[in-house]
Amino acid sequence: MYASGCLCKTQLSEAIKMTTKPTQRYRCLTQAWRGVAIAMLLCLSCSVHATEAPQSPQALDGQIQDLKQEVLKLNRELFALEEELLFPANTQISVFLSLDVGGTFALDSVELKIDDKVVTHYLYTERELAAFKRGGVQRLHMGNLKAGKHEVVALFVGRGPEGRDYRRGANLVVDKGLGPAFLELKITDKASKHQPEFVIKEWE
Amino acid sequence: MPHQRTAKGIFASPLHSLCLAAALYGALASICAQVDSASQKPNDMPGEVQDLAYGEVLFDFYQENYFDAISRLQQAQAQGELNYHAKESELLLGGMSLAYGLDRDATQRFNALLNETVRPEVRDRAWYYLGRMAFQKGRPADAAAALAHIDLQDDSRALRKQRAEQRMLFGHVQLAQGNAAAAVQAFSDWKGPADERDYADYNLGIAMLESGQVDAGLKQLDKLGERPADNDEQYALRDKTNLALGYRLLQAGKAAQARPYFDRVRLQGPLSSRALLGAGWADAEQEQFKQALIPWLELHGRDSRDLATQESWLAVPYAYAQLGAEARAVELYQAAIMAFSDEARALDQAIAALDQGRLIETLLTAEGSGRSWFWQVAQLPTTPETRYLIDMLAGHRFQEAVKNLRDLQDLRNRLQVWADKTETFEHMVETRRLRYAAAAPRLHDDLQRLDVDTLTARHESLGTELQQITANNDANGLMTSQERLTWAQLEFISARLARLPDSQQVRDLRDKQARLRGLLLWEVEADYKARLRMAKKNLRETEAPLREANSLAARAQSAFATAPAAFEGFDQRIVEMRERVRNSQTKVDSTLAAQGAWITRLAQADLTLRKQRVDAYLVQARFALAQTYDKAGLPAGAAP
Repeated sequence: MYASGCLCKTQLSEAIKMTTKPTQRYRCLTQAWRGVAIAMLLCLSCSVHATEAPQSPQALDGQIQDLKQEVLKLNRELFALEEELLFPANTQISVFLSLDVGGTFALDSVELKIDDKVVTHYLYTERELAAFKRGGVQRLHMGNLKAGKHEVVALFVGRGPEGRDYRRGANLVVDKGLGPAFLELKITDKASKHQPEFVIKEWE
Repeated sequence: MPHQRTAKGIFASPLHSLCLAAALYGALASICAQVDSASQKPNDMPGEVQDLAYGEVLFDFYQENYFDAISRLQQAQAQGELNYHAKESELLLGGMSLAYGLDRDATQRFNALLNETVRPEVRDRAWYYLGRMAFQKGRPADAAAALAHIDLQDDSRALRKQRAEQRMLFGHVQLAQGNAAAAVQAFSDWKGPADERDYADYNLGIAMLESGQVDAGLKQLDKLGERPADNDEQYALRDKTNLALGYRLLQAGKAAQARPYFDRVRLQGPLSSRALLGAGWADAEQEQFKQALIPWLELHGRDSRDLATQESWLAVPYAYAQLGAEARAVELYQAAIMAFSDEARALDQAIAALDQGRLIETLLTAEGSGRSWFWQVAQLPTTPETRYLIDMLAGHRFQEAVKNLRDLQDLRNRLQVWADKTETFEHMVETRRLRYAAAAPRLHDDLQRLDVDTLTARHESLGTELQQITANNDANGLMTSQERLTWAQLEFISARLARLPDSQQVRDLRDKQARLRGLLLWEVEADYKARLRMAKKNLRETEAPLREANSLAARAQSAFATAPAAFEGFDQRIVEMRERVRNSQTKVDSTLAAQGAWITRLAQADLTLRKQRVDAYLVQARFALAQTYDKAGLPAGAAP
């Protein structure tokens, strides 16, 4: 029945799926045709039961849930191991990017240099930009740096007000201590509604 | 039936995959959007992210990378990285677990939240998710019990958005429990965002019909069906409403009333085929077969997989036969028989492709993730195994099964990456150990030779000496090495001259020695202040390099001492991890195979059903053809 069942926003396209019942619609056909159609329908219902899957999908679903949990746990432990091996706490530096702009700047890419050496060049997708706009923060770079002073330079490329090409840089001299260092590249237009602002913030 | 993990797609009817993904995203997005109730921020705006780790989680979450988001969030929780977002992170984790198909974990998390002291809106959220899960699992009574914990009448501004979806769910639950009157009340009272108003109105219309208020329900749907639309979503809802009205009236034997509703459905929309079919039947019911041919002929040339199109292959010749055009009817019945035969062959090929495992291969190799994956599948070239794929993906059970298959494939890829990485880790650790072993003796010797302590002691001694010189005004203490040599020579000469017998020559020599000595002393005394200044300056200038040398030496010593930490203790961990990765790989492979087999069975059931339906149509077409021959007095098989 077409008019049965309520609708959620997401169910709208359920109607794409056809649920035609030939015997109902061919009531205008001859009685003999109806007989054939009913016979076919009975035949169909028998066959549907015959092809039901023998294995319990619930058991399989439970198995998949267990496996996902297992791999999630393993993944976390492996990440921790990798971090300890490759980026020990005393030399670790992480650079993050956040974006809080309205229409003043559309980011295309970011280039990050540390001590005049390019460590990351990243091009952004629409999905990533949408994630930024909702509060997402990207870990742009993770690496190692000796203790002491280092210059961090970020070059932002995109489209500024009125769609013009826009390139801006920001730099910061970091005095790296013995612990891990966390920097955040921030693009914001909070200070001015007409111009984006590019800053590098060091987190404690 | 496998669980559903839609946020809003809470009925057992098939959903379009893209809408499903959008629903998941939208509902979960509001989890982290409802953070800051105190500041009265709008619910669709994120609160300011105060922990970098939480921001990282959101970055993955908003891209629907649930595995990465869950993994990062759990890591952040374990490492105490969430100082500001601890509570909402637990709610977010529950929601993401649900989206990732971890129902049991999600249930545990929501229940745990309810045992803690959390803000009322967080508790409501947890109850809502528990209620929704119960509803999805076909337990409307449990869903109702969960929703009973929420004060649905509390309509304060900060809660408005979540109340809207909670009330919507409440209405659905009432309907599922057979309380159509209560559902009517719930949807009548529903308040929420304007873009969801239409859905509440639609549901109200359906609830009215279910509760026996047929006229009111039809009127409600009629109003919605002619409401102006601004976007595709609204147009789709209008189409759905009008189609529902049309078929409802057609089934009630009110063909004349039904016809205008079919006309309201867009000709190019996804429901147009069904509307065309219905429009034709509405005309045919009124014996207006010529009119019926207009929509049916439009439908006749459409996609042969569409069941409405397939019906039109029978409906069009039927109408011609009713109009007395038997020859044309015969011609079209023959064409229909050929078309059904072709379709039956295509289905046989698709079933054969299933048996060869080609469908699973296609599902696993199609690139993309999340919503983009469904687009990719839609663009695949038509082959026996892909011909019916999109239609099958519209079915919820099939879609969920495919999601799990893709998730397992993702796990397999991740595990393979870790398997490769852990092998690299092993080499890396071994290389570090060898390098240390090779360099350690030389480094040890170098460090031993690096006698910074002696230099420091010398510096201190020189400082003390200079202090004494300054205190005693001892100019001689600041003689240069040449002057000291000259001084020593003069002292030596003086001693020698003292031992010689007195004579004029010796006296002259003594005078000369005394003059030279006096000259030397005079020069040293005269230059004393400048020398003292220079000496102090030089001593000061050595302080910084000496400190640097001390620091470097200490770091070198420390690095040498801690270098083994870069490889010691890792071996066992890496070996254990590799073993666990291997074990998980084995499990994933077998589960992937089982899931593939399950999907194949689902697809076989679907295709078999289609095949049987086509066979039924084929029988009908042959029967109708024979009857038309008979009616027209033509010999069977004669050319029309």
